[in-house]
Amino acid sequence: MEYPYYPGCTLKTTGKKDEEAALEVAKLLGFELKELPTWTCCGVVYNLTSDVMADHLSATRTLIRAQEMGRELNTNKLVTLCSMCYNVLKQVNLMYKNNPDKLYNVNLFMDTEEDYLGNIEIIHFLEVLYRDIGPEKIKEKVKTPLKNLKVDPYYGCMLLRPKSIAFDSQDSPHVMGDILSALGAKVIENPMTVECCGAHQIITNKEAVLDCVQRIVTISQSKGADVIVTPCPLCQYNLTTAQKSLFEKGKINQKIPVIYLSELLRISLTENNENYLKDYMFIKDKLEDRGGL
Amino acid sequence: MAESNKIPLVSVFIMGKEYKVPSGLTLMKAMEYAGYRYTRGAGCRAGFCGACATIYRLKNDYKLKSALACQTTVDEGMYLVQLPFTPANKKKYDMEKLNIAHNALLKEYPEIARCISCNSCTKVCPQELKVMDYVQASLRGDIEKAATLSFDCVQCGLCAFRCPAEITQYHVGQLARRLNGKFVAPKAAHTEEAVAKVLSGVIKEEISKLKAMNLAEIKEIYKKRSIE
Amino acid sequence: MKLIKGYPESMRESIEKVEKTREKRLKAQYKQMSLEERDDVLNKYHPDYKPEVKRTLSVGPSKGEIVPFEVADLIESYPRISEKDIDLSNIDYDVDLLIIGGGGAGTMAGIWATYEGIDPEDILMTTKLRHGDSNSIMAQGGIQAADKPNDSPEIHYLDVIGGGHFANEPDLVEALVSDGPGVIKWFEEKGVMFDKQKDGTMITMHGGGTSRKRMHSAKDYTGMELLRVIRDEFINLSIPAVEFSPAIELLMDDKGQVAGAVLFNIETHQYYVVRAKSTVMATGGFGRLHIQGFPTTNHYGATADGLAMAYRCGARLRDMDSVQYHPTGAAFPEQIVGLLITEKVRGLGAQPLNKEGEMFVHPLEPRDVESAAFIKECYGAGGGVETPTGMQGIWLDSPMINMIKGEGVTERELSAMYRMFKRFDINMVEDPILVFPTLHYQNGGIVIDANGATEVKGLFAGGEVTGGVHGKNRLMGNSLLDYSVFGRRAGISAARHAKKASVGKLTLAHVTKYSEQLKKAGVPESRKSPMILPEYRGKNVLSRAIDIF
Ligand SMILES: Cc1cc2nc3c(=O)[nH]c(=O)nc-3n(C[C@H](O)[C@H](O)[C@H](O)COP(=O)(O)OP(=O)(O)OC[C@H]3O[C@@H](n4cnc5c(N)ncnc54)[C@H](O)[C@@H]3O)c2cc1C
Ligand code: SF4
Ligand code: SF4
Ligand code: FES
Repeated sequence: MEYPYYPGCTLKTTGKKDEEAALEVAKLLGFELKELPTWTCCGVVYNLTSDVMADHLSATRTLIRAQEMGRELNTNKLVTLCSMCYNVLKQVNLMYKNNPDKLYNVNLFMDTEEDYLGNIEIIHFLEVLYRDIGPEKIKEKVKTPLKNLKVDPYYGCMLLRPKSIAFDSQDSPHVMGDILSALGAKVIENPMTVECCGAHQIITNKEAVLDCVQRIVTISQSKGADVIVTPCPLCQYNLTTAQKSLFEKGKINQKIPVIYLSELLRISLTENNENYLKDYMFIKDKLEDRGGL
Repeated sequence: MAESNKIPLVSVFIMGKEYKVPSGLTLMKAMEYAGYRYTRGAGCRAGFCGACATIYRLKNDYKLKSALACQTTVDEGMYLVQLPFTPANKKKYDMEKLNIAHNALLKEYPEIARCISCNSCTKVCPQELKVMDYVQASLRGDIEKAATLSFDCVQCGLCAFRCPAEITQYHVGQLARRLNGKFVAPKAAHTEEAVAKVLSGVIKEEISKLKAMNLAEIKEIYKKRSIE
Repeated sequence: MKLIKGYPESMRESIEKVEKTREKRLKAQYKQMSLEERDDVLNKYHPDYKPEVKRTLSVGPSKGEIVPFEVADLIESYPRISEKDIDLSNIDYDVDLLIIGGGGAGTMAGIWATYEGIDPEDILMTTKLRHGDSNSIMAQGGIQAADKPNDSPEIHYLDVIGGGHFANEPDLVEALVSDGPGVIKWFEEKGVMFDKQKDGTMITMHGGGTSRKRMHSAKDYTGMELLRVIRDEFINLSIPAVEFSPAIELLMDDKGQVAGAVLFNIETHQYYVVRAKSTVMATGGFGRLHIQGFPTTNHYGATADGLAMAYRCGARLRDMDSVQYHPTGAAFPEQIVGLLITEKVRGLGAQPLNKEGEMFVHPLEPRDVESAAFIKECYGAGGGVETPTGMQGIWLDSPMINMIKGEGVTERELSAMYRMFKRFDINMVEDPILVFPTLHYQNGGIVIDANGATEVKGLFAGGEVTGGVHGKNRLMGNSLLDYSVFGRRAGISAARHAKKASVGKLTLAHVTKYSEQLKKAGVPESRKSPMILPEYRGKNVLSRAIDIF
């Protein structure tokens, strides 16, 4: 199976490794993510308050690119790795589905592009893993079971909100937990799992970001987690860097590693994973400590 | 100059004012034929300098078109105006202090993050470059792509005029190309070696031998030189 | 007129013949001429070898030199201003270094003067149009430098001297070729995107008259890429530049040194007085004089202003009798007649052909020889292709390029050419293109030494405005190198001079004196220079123009 794939800016900059891992994981699980030949920024935020067409052009253009590639690959799906991109693209898409006249207008404006027909379905990598592949199949492919590794699945706020775009329960999501269990890990429940990590306030209100992150990681640590796993490269980056500041300020006395989902999957789905573990010595240590490797 | 009595005339509207000019002229020559003497708006007269950016409309077409006046033929009923200057701030930077981190371009030109992908820049570019794509590549730190996509830019400024995000695309492209040439592209080792050879003084010696020859001798050597 | 893919029926017939012979020609080589054969065709057909188009200068430091009429008229012209018009006591810009001309040479001079320790605030560059509107930005084919293992500056030296018919100034040639590798390295460090192989090796090609492949390029936008980078650097260094303000006369002081210039704001018509300890003349060439009525490849401001101004201060000129015609100017369509078709088109494999689709000359003879051969074929052998406007031309079989070098090479490496013809509905990958010699380069110019100093104190010069580097004929790729080498050297020398020089009382007496000489020689008073910009307005309009406003 081949999916049109939209990387977005983060996966090409701070999230380069996450993308690499995801592409490999896909191969290991028997599908392929094919990057759109040209693409633009997702639009960054879905602007709820303004109804300006200009705010949705970027996302619409991506939908058209997906439509073009989808014709070749015979699919109407577009996969993203980033929760932010997922959120924006899916909301814009939904807006067109619900308002045909908005779709008509935007097509009129973009008169040098083919018309967008409104049929693309935006799915997150996590959804592909859960729906199209399934925990059972993933379990079969595990080469290195993550026995005894205590993982805290952290969804963040972009993936399951608003309700109209959610593909899992907003109160007690289980999709990521199910997959992590399939890898053999011990899944911890954290009430903060769908709370915001504060990333979007990084410029305007650094203190607020630190507060958010402190709450998330403190609970995670108190529950005994070895690592936080997230399907959002922005959360991954923010949780990691904010912890550094918190630590320096003495607000936390220990940092907990945060890993993007695909990287953990890759470690578990490969036999010779020394190379991948190199960057995550803590996992190796934990696994060895408890006789997992 | 074309002979106007033989060649059919067409009507053009230069800044709204109608003139009859021989068909087949470039916009630039048509304006001159009509009596305009260029001070601004003409540089190379050959499509290389971007001085002659022009926008126009045709009758009954809502499209705003663009052209280099020196490289485009007049058409019946054209409404045209030149935009020979674009107010645009070029960042000043010291190349030695820059790097190619993913935010290298964003740091100098943070406004590229405002791009809404409207594609107006690509539509207006008289060089038919994928301007939006090079801005987007810059935004995500793909310097090599931004450099190659913007390479043929004549810095005419039209894209910057059309941009709702107020980006000056061509300055961003310029920086991308310099970063690419300096840091991304592999260095030419043979150039380095050739420079060392010159510094060693052997070249000076060889050339002074040639300089000491009389005309007949040097002609002889020239004729006999091998061609590789 | 009905056009089929850009060409009229009449030309299509000849294109069919070109297509028929192509297969055979792909394997064939045309032999190069001997020195004797070259002389013969030059004497009979090169426009420059006709004695009746030139005359002897009757006044000034190069009195007795033979130059084309158009140049003589420009030199033997009255200044546009006289002493009484200009108030020299009121100085608008007081600087260490004045650079006249915003092309390659001027830009390099500014950068290197700054490196030499002159505060950018004490420099002023003035230019006629915008900074960069110049011949430099138009160069397509490439820049020569002997930096490959099978090459060396002394081999380059021989090529330059031979190409220049052994009339070059040896010291200048030595400087040119010896600085070559350093220039390329410097450009690379500044971020020029040269064409390279994956391992960094420069992709270099032959040019007319080269014995090694040493033409470095950046697609067919070499001049644009170099100029964009150095202009960017110049701006980064915060060197002040005033645009649309050409120099119209040099100033001297009572000690006989050049000491600045009078500038003219072509938009407000105000003049400015610049006092400078050193002045660098970098005004480029003379294509817009349209020698012998030829169309030109040059930019709008290439009117040889610098020659006229420097001459009045006592600067000698040399080799101004020789004019370079580029063999391949566009001959069709009418809209682009005279514009340059880069030599790289032939370098990549396109053969020149007559109307029967036959070869008649080696594709890469030196420029003057190649041009003469084209003119001979059109006007001596009757082999030219006629255009609807009655012009004659030679085919360049451009479709051969992709056949030899591979799919997409034309579109990629000749994107400027490809785009230019595409704009007029001609696809040079499928059809040949029509060419005829066009006025291209001012071989001679102001006499300088290897440091870029002229014979007049305080005046330095570099680039196309100077003479001696290329003798009687410049080879392709050597003038980008010329402006890089001598623009730099002139900038450095001017900076060093400025550090110790002092300027006396400003004067325009030299201008008055020159005018008197002209009067004595009987030169008509209506003749004025510098030209600043050529006149292209419609005859109708000009005949009814009145000056009341
Ligand atoms: C179409 C074309 C293609 C070429 N291709 C090549 C090539 O492939 N390789 C190669 O080596 N060479 C090539 N050349 C030649 C080369 O580009 C020029 O000889 C060289 O760049 C000249 O540089 P310059 O700085 O001396 O003059 P220019 O670049 O012409 O600059 C002169 C500047 O002075 C300004 N100026 C003129 N008069 C005044 C005044 N009175 N006051 C103030 N400013 C003034 C002009 O406007 C201009 O900005 C080509 C030339 C042309 C025209
Ligand atoms: S990218 Fe912009 S400045 Fe460059 S040629 Fe195109 S429109 Fe002009
Ligand atoms: S015009 Fe501006 S906002 Fe629109 S696509 Fe181009 S760079 Fe982006
Ligand atoms: S005048 Fe230079 S591009 Fe038209």
